Amino acid sequence: MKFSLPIIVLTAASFCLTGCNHEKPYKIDDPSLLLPDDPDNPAPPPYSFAQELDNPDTRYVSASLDMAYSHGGILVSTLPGRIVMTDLATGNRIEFSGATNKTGNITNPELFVNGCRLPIEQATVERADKKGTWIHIQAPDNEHIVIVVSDL
Amino acid sequence: MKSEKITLLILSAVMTGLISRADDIDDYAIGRKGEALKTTIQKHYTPTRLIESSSIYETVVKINGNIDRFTGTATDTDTETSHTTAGAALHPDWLRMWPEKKDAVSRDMHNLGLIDKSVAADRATRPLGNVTDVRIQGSGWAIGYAPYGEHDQMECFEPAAEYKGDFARTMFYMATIYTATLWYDWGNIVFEPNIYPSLRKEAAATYMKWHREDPVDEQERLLNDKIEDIQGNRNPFIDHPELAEYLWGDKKDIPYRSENPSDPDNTDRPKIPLHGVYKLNDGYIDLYSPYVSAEAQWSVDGKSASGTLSIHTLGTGVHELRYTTENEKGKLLITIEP
Repeated sequence: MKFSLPIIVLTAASFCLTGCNHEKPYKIDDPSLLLPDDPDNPAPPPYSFAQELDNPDTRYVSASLDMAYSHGGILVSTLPGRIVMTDLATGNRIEFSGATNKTGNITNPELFVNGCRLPIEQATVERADKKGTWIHIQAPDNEHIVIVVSDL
Repeated sequence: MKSEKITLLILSAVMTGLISRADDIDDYAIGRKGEALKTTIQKHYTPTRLIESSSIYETVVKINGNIDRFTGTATDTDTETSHTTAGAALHPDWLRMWPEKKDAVSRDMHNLGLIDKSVAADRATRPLGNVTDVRIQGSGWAIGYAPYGEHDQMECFEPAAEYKGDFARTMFYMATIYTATLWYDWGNIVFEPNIYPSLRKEAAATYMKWHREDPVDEQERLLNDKIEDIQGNRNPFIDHPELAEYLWGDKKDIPYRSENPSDPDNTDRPKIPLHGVYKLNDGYIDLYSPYVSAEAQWSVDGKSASGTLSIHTLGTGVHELRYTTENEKGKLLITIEP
C-alpha cells in the first residue's frame, strides 16, 4: 500500500487542527435561556409601533374590531380629548377619551367599544402633529390597539 | 294662558318623545342588514322595565281585554272565576338555562296573551306552527303534528287564523330581543343558538307566511301602544312590518331601506340618516345623522352644503363629507353606486 506524501501531510494536519480546536462542535446556550417559560408570566411577543407611524390612514385596529376610514361608511368625530368612530353599516362604535394633543403617556385614558369599557394597561400618544394623532393602547394579554386620526 | 302654554309644552315633549322612539328604526337601521340590523333593533327595542310577576295576569287582562288570541275567542276574565291564564308565545322553559332571560321572557308583555287554562295545559311547551295531523282540536285552534324539516313528527300548537300574523310578529320580536347559545325543549327546533338568524329556516318560513297573510291591524297597534306604556318598548315589527322581510324574508341579503315617503321636498318626512353606500336612484342625501349635532355645518367634497343634496348632482363615486360644530368636527366617506 503506497501513500503519497502530500496526502499523509494533509491528513495529519487535519487531525492536528481538530484536536487544537477549543470551540465545541456543538452550541451551548445560556443556561438561563434553557429554563422553561413561566406559564404565569410568559414573555410578551415582540411588538413595534414604528410601522404604524408610517401609515397615516385614519383607523382603529384591535384583535376583535377593525375600522378603516378609507373603506367608507365610518363616521369619525373628534372633540377636545375625545375620539369617536362609528361604523354606520354595523353600528359598531368606539369612543376613546384622554388628552391626545402631545406625545407621551395619556393620563386616565378610557376606551369604550359598543358601550363596554375595555381595560387599558397604558395608552400613549406616539405622534401628534398637524397631520394627525397616532395612539398606541396596550391592553391586557399583550393586546395592542391602534387609533389613528389624520387630516381632521 | 300660562296653563295652556304648559300644556302645549308637555304635549310637545310627549310628541317629541313618541316621534323619536318611532324613528329609532329610521335613524339607526337604514343601511344595515343581517346580524347588524338585528343587533341594532335589539339595542333600541329591549324593554326598559318589566312588570312584577305577581301582576302578570291582571296586566295581560288589562291590555288584551277579554280576547284569547291563542284560540280566537272572547273569554271570562273575572279573576275569581276565570278559566284563562297568561300564555306565552315563546315558552319561558325553552330558556331554562338562562334564569335572567327566562324571567324576562315570562314577564315581557309582548310575549304574553290570555289563553284558556285547559288549552294552555294541552299545549304545554309546544311551539307555534301549522298542524297537519290534528290530535286535539278546538274552535279555530289545533294541537298536533307537523312536518318540520328533518323533524317529521314535530308537535305544535296552531293558533286562531286571525291572530297568526300577530303571533308571527311576536316571535320576530322575541327572536330579536332574546338570543341564546343554548335552547331547551321545543325551543331547540324553533331557534338556532346564534345571534342571527336565530330563527331556524322552517320556523322563519312559517312565521313569514303568517306575517304576510295576516298584516298589522289597528287592534295590534293599540296593543303595542298599551305595552309601550307599561314596559317602555314597542314591537318594531308592528310599526315597521317590512323589517321582517329584511331579516328573514325576501330582502334578507340587502341593507334595510326606509319605506317612508321619499319626496325630498316633503318637510314632514323623516330624514334618512347618512350611511355608507347610496344608489343613484335613492335620489337624495339628507345631511343628517343621529350621531351628529343638528347644528353641524357640513361640506361635501370641500364645498359648503346643507339640508338635502341631489345624488345625481354629486354623481357616482366616492365623496367626502365633513362637518364642524362649536367644539366637534368629523368626516365620512360615502359611495354612490350606479
